[in-house]
Amino acid sequence: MPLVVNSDVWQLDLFVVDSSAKAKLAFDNLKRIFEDAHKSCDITVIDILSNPKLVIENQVMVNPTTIRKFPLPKITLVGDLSNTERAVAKLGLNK
Amino acid sequence: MKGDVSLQTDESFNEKEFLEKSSTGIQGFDEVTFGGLPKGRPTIVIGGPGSGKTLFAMEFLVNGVRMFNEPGVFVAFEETEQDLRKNTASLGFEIGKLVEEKKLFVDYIRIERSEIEETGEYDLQGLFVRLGFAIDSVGAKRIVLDTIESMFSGLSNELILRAELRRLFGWLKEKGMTAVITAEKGTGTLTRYGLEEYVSDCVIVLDHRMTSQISTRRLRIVKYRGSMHGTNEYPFIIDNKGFQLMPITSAALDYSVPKTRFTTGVAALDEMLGGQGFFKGSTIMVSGSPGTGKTSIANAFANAVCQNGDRCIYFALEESPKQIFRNMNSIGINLEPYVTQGLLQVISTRPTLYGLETHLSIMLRHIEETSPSAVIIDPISNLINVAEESDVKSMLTRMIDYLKTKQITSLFTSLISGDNGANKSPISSWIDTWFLLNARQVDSEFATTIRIVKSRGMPHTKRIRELEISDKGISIK
Repeated sequence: MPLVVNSDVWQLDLFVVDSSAKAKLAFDNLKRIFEDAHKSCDITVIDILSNPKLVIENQVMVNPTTIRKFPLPKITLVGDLSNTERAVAKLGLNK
Repeated sequence: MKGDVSLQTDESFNEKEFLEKSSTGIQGFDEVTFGGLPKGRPTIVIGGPGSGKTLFAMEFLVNGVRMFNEPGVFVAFEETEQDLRKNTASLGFEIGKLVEEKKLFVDYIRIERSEIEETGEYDLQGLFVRLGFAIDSVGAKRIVLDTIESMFSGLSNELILRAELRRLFGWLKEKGMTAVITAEKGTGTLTRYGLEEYVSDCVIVLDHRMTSQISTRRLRIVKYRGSMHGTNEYPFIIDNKGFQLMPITSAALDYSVPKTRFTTGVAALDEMLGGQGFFKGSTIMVSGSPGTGKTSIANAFANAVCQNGDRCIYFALEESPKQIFRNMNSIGINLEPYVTQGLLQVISTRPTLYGLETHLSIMLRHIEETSPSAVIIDPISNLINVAEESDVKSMLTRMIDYLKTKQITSLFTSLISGDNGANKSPISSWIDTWFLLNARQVDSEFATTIRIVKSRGMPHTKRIRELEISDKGISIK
């Protein structure tokens, strides 16, 4: 499906160690950030342990890592996103 | 009885039982560490930029594959795989080929602080997964992390990083990986981020110093838990064959002393030494003022060695091979045929090109390759001039010790002025047979005198004789 420039749906990859406390926290934080900003997003959760090839491809080192794939440019956030302010600012959701 | 008991304990403290080692295949290094790096444990290699730590690490991996059938993983934090290939191609490492054969896995990890935003707590599980994947995909036994400290500039939470690195080294140990972790030299601490705190099994420091515009490389083993190791600084060179350490541990004085004698190549000199010439494996010095015939005596000896069908290496630090051949032709010594026969190797280098240790390391590499029965350094005083005073003695001592151990007869010439110079040589006590040449005015011309300062283990004349060099060769009156 070709991505439309003015599409409102953001694409995000969330690399985590599945079923860990950090994973749940990061996912919840991410969802909340988008809810608060009234933006819709697709979050793909990728388990670090069972997807080493994706981990290498995306230069992921840190658990959890959030990568904004759309809109470009690509943005990488590391950590559990509990510092919401920083995450929001880096993603440009405060504008 | 008590003494017996403690003796037994000492003997049962066998190195092999306690600490298995992983051979690096790096010339000289395995000797000074009595077998290599601690097997299944991490070793930290510290050095400034250009000190050779990446090369050391890569050679450890490549040798592991080639010589010991142990696949390896190279994790680069600073150079891409292409860069690594390019930078090591001249050493014949063939990284690309090893990667294709699935014997080597190279992973380039890029951390760019400007592209990463930290938003809370995290760990380095992603890194663990990558390393695990790399290790499993080739069945690695060895791993290099070059330079993991780069992570400190990519991520800002030092607390997390430190905890995770500690966990990482523990994890590598659990996996039984013999690991080399490179680190930048720090100020105050050994490494910039104090990594040596986590890797306490084996710590190696590489040093690249410039003194009087001459560069010298040295390696020091700061720590090796549970193992004996040499504590000296070992000079090393990096040439087209890779890393090489001076393969000498210490002046041990336990070599065998052969009684075989070698002719000096000059009948009259043999006669001065009781009629039979030098001992095999002995160290000979010919010192004298300029123009007294030191090089001629050295060449007469080279000639005699080759005539006997033995190999000889002639390190010329003053003249080119062609110059030597021409000059020797004029006194009836023709060395060129021996070069074609492969018996004689003449190696000319400019003394100021390198420091003393580099010179010696290069010489040792030639000696190891050829295993000659005689070595000539003409003149050794030129080497002494390029070195720091304090280094000369230990360096030359190691060199002489090495030659003696291999039972290689060595002849050094040395330029001195006057009779007094003899005692000042830093290696005088290591010399077995010593000739001193002097120019003395007799009436309206100069005559060269020769005397034997010493010659251990053989009767020799104490008389001062007169040396004459003509187109017929060297004669003594």
